[in-house]
Amino acid sequence: MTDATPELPARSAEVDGLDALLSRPLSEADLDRATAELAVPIDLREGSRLSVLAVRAGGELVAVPAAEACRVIAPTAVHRVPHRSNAVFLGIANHDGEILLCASIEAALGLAPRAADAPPGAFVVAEHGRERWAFGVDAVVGVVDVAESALRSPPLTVSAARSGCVRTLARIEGGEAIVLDVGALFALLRGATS
Amino acid sequence: MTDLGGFSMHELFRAEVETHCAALSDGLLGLEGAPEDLGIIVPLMRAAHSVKGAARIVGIDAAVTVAHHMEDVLVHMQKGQERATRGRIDQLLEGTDFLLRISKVAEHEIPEWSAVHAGEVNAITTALAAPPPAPAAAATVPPAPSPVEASVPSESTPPTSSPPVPVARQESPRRVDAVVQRPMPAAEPAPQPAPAAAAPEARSVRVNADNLDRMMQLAGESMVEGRRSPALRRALAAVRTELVRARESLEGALRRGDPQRIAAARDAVARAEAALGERIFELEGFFRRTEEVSTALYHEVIGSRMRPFREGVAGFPRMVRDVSRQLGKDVALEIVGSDVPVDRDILARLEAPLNHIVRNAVDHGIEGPDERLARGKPAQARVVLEARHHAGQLQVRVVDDGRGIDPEGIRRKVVERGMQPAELAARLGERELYDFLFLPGFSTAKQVTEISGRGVGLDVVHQMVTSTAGTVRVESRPGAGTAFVLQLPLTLSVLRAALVEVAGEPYAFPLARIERVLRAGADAITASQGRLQCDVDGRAVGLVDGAALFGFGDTARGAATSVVVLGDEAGMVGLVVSRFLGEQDLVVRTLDPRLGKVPHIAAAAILDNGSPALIVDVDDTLASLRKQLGEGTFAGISVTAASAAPVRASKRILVAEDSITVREVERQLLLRMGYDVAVAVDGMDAWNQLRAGRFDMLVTDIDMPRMNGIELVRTVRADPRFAHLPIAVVSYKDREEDRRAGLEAGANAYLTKGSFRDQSFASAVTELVGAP
Repeated sequence: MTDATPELPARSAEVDGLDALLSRPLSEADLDRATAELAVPIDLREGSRLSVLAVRAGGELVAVPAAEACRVIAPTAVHRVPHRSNAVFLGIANHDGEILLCASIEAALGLAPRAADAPPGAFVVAEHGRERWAFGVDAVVGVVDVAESALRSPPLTVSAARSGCVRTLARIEGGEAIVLDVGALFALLRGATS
Repeated sequence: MTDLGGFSMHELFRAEVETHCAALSDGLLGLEGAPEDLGIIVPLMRAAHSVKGAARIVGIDAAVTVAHHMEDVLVHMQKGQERATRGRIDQLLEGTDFLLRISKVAEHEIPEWSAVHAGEVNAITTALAAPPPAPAAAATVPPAPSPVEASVPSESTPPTSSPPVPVARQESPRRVDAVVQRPMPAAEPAPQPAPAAAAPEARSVRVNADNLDRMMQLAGESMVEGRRSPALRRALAAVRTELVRARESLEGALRRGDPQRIAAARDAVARAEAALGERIFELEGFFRRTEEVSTALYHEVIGSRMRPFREGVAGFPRMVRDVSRQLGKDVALEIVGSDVPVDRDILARLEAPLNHIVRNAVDHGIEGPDERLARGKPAQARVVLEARHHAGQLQVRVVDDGRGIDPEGIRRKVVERGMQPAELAARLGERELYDFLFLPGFSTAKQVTEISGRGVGLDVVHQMVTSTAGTVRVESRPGAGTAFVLQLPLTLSVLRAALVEVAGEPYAFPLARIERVLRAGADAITASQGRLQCDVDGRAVGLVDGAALFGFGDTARGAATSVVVLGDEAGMVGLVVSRFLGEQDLVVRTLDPRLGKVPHIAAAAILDNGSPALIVDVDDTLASLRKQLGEGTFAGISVTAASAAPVRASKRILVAEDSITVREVERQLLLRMGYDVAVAVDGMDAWNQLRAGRFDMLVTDIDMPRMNGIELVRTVRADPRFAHLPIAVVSYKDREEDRRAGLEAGANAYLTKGSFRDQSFASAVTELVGAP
């Protein structure tokens, strides 16, 4: 046994470079920006922010609570199911060996229908309880954190127009997004399969 | 080691009791045959002791008491203090049955169940504690039945001492099977909830632990292989860079015209080529290895569905013993191929038909001991139940050395019943004659006596076997015995299917369930009564449009028409499809339960290219086609055009009635009134039809199987789509409370069946739905 301190490897040029980059003094502009960011009041209380997956569908911004947005997948072929497929329930699709039920979010929520020759940009798989549904969307905006204070209850007219599937409305990307009540949406979709 | 952490103590107790009771049941039967063999007793003592200990842990006192008394008796036997008499074996088997039954009771119901069955516990333990019954057990065996009694169908005379649940045996003492939980579907598909007791069984399956280990190894291997792909990608990218540099170097050298540089650049290109060749070689190895691992994994997963044959027939030795004792016969059952792996679904479906065949063999096929001796046969009869893999199929044979089947008896019956003219019947061979045994209702009590009881319920056996794409046939030599031979697919999870395209999407037909696929040119298609048909082996087969049948418009037909010919005993039909896509082995995937039973569709599958496909339910399609064609709600392809779309002429009424007579009366009445009528045989059938079609009114009975009329009306009214559907209840029940119950459930009118005699039924219908 020896007490000798193990010899540290020599610092590489890359590590030195990174060190220099991180240790460089900030410019005035950087300081101003960082100050402005820090000056924005953030409510850090638990449950005060809602994380959502925002997508564009039927000309609207639609948000799925992130906890219920299972995954985003590439558009895939949907096979209609005889005597079951309709405007809302489109059919079944395969993703990694899982056969998913696919629905039209536009038809379910009464949004503008997608043109027949315009395939969806992506599929969103949502999960509520142990139930999953996939639906095509025009584009995925991304996961957005919304302060609960920026959420507002939908007027009755909006809720009714969207089949009672709106949990709340939120300001996202300068627009107003429908935050889905996924449980209510799934109940609606189940009704469309029978 | 198997992780059983996800299971409750009660679930573990249940699994343990099942295993030990199987050992007890088998061992006791063995002991009965060899009462001097004390070596058999020790494992039985151990089993009873283990059950006692397990029952004590979960606090089931009744099981502790019974197992304790059983253990005491077994200890006495092992010490030679008492003999393993038949009477004692009966008592021990009774105790075993009790332990098995109590283990199946839901945990929260055990106190109440135990209280209710306290008398039974007392009777069992008192009998076991008493000295063994006198060995004159033969006196208690009922006398052999008269020929007339023996002719009673076996289902109607189940032995009272039969175990209530077949006892499954532990596959191997060396390995503990894993119980794998299967996630339940998220939504309830059917309006009728499944019985609560069935739910736990539906949620777990037993998987051989070795098999599970191999799957885990292969899954790990698959992951390791997957991690190699980034390295391969980097290596290929490096080769590409090398090639680019070599090309640039060559171009530069060529521009300068420097022979040395050109030669060096050529060398660089050659090195890059060699490197590329090496990478391609590595890539091929990677692909080969990946394919091997995924194929092995696939086979292991399929293999995990396999269970040894003995698990499906574990209760049979006991059943044969009980039935033969009841009949005063001496029958030895021999099970051959008990380790043959069988798909768990097939095993489950086999049990009922095999039980029926074996029971019938003992009941009717085997002669009584005196008759056997008189015929020069040993008094003890043999029934052999054999399973083996043969020519890529599972073959199960049930062979007895009884009296056999007289083909002439069948021939006479065929003629007597007008099933074939005498001259044609005279030309039928033995095999053709035996096929008549599988026709529904072929046997009668009188005929059963004449032909040794065969035929009773064999139509059900036939139906169950064919539903798994299998076949069943009979071989027999009068006086020497009979063999039932069942040929079944090795697994139900993989299906050889013909793929076709309908309305632009792939559909699969099980190869075993289609008569023919054909491409019919224009000259092969003719017309009859304005409908298209084609010739198949000299038979005119009507054509229907597959796309229209599935509700997707019409199929465009080119110069040749692609036809899938489906059929059964009742006739054939040609389903026109867009084109054939070939054959493929498909892994059958259950359709999402949220969809309920989808008309014409049995299951789903994923094709080689990753697309989903639907597997056609041929039986359902044929039945539905016959019904719709008969009702005029669907038509064959017309001569003028593809006008196979549903025809709706008048208001449509659905009649739900389980009595065929009343159903027909109502149908005729409504048809005469000018309505379009569809019929349903019970409430569930009606509910399915209502959801699938468009109806203007529902007429329903009250007392029906599966879903009664009140439940049907409530279910219909609960669905907003049918909130305003006129509903009339027609029932024999004419009490005021019945009437109130019908109207409170949501019916618009409540009529009694006497209303057919006057105009009240017709008036009520017209009032509710209007003129046709």
